[in-house]
Amino acid sequence: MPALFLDSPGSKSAAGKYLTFILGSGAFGIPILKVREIIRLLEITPIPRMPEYVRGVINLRGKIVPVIDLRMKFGLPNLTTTNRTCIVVVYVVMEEATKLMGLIVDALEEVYQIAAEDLEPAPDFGKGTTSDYIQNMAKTKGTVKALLNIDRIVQEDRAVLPQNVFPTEALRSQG
Amino acid sequence: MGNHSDEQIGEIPLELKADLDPELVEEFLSDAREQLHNIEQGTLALEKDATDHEVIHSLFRAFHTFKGNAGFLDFAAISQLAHALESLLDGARENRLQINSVIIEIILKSRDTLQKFVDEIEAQITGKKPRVIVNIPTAALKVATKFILNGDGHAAAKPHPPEPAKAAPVEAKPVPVETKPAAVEPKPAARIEEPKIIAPSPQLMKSEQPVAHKSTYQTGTALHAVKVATSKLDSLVDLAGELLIAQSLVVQNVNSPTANRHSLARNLDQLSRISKELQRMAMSMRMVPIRATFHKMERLVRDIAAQQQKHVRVILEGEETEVDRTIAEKLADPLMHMVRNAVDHAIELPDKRATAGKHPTGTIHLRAYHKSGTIIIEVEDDGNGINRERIIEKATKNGWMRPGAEPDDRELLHYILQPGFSTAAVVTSLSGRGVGMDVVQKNIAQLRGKIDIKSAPGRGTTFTMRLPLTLALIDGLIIRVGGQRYIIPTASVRESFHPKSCPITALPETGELVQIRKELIPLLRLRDHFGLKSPIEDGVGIMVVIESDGKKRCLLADELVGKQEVVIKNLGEVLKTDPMVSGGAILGDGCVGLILDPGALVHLESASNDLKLAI
Repeated sequence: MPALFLDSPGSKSAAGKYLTFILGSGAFGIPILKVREIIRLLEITPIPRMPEYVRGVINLRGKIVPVIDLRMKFGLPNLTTTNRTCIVVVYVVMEEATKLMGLIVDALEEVYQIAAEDLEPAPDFGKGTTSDYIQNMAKTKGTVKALLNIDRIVQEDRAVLPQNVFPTEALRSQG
Repeated sequence: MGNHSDEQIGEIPLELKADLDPELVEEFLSDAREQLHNIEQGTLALEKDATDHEVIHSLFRAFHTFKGNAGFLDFAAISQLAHALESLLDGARENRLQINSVIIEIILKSRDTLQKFVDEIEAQITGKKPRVIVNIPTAALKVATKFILNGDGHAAAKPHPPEPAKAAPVEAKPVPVETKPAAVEPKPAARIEEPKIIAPSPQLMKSEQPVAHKSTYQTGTALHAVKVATSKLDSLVDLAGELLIAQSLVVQNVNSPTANRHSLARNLDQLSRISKELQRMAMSMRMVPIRATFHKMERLVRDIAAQQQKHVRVILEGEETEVDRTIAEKLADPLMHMVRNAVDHAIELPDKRATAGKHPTGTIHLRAYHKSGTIIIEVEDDGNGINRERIIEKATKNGWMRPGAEPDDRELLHYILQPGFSTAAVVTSLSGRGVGMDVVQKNIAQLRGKIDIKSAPGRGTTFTMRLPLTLALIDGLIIRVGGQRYIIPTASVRESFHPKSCPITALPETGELVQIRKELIPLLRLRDHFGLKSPIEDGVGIMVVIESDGKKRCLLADELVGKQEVVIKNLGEVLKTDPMVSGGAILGDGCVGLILDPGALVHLESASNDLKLAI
């Protein structure tokens, strides 16, 4: 299924359909072809001695899938879960194999077609910030969405982020 | 094909060119391994019956294939050696040559040399070794085949070993060893003229039941690709079809307003029957006959026996028994240790055996069979048995047992399997010269198996290994820590008891120790170790003693939930988890339970202490 993974860097190839979702006060997108399914928040079995944002593993119809909390990963303030909180199960490419991983997000928005001219390269907020995971910025309907590089998030799953570095305000003001 | 004009007698270096297609090489390697196995089995069969033309033909074909494949990839060193052997066997095929022990030795040595090539190529192509030009000596073997083919074959065909003069031109060629560490091994040719090639005498072989003979002379298993019997594949496809039908019946049931509960129940029943069968069938695809592993041992016995001038025959039983692929692979090392020890130390020299009233030829039985849901592998020899006195002496000296105690076989085994045991002088008469039996213990434990020993002085020793049918299932003890359930493999659980029944002592250097019957075992409070903020109250919970690699640890958990057989699953392989979590399993209520790795837990040194200080 190599055709599934289109999100190689470079604005042109990054145009396409994205699933957008909310985390804190920011809006994010991941390529729809990276999404396997969306499920409600199941019971998560925590794994001891893991970073806090690694929430644990779930049983996805007999398959064990790890789940990370994107909000914690990005150092956003911790909100309680609502009935809109859900798990987006995505394909990640690791060491040339495709694996599954769950991402906890606050709420889903929509599936949105993003054209190449709406894309802008991610602004550089400095090293070690969440901008490392942002591949592109997309201007849609007067807002800005950060398009994430899921594979990179997983590669750095052990990196510890400083608190509250996510540039939500900067994104807003750009829009 | 015997008349290639580009024959080279000298050494040819092996070079993996940069533009080599890795896929082609992969294919070559996979095929080569199969041919190597065939050659080995064929040669051993030939040793027993030198006139079996079918075997000679198949050996010829194997070398021929080897030559062709290697030539295609431009591995001249390999194809030239294979070519020399092909010519030799061609001679035998056309009755110009009589197969004798010298020829057999040459074939086996050539096979081993080809094996070295294959290993080297694999290491280089997979990047385990840098791509360098290496020299693996082949000239001596090629010269030897020439000599035999050019009429010296008559001399060689005599029952006597060939005269030493024959080896002179072979040794005149120095073997370059700088580039390749493996080449330091004894030159193949140097051994060819050794006069101690002792084959089991033919009449002995005939008097017994067939020993891995023609019937078992079959192809082996490739390393990476999996070979599955067509019948199994067909049944799998059939089952998948049935599954679809059953599933559509259920869907129909649910959708149709007239359907009753009975037919739904019946269809669901059918569905679950098929799913179970499907799972069983899928698991069986991981199974391979233990034959290939056993056959390796045959060769080993032959070589060691020849070296030591002992007469040993191997009798295989149940080599068609199917075991999990991983088990078959991991079993090779422990078996090798046991078989080597048996030939090396247990089985006596022929005259000594005769004096003791035993048959001069020693026998090693390799047995495999199923028993009550486990696979049993036995290695039985009729040698001198284990030397109780010396084991006891050694164990007492090491402080493992009280002087004057009368240990049974089981306890003795326990001592033999201790890591420090086999390095001592005791071993010469018993088992393993520094190649410890602790390796055996370790590998068997990795496979979640158990090992047992029975020995009668002067009559022989039997090692019995009990292994699980599959590595996909595990018998687990479920414990609760905080709000979560964890699974510990039952095989490594020694005992469990109430925390109040044993005193806990705490020392600053060692952490907490639990005293159980005069034994002090380090305590690991799982709640603390897992980073839970609320420690367990004193005197509450359950203590579980686990053992792995001969080390024990006492775990303090909240509660013992139960015992259950679970299917082992990986945790998605995306995250790097703590090594103490080896996997997960879906429990009865659909939640995931984590499987704890006893090996990692017993080897935790001061982790628990550190964490406790931090809390």
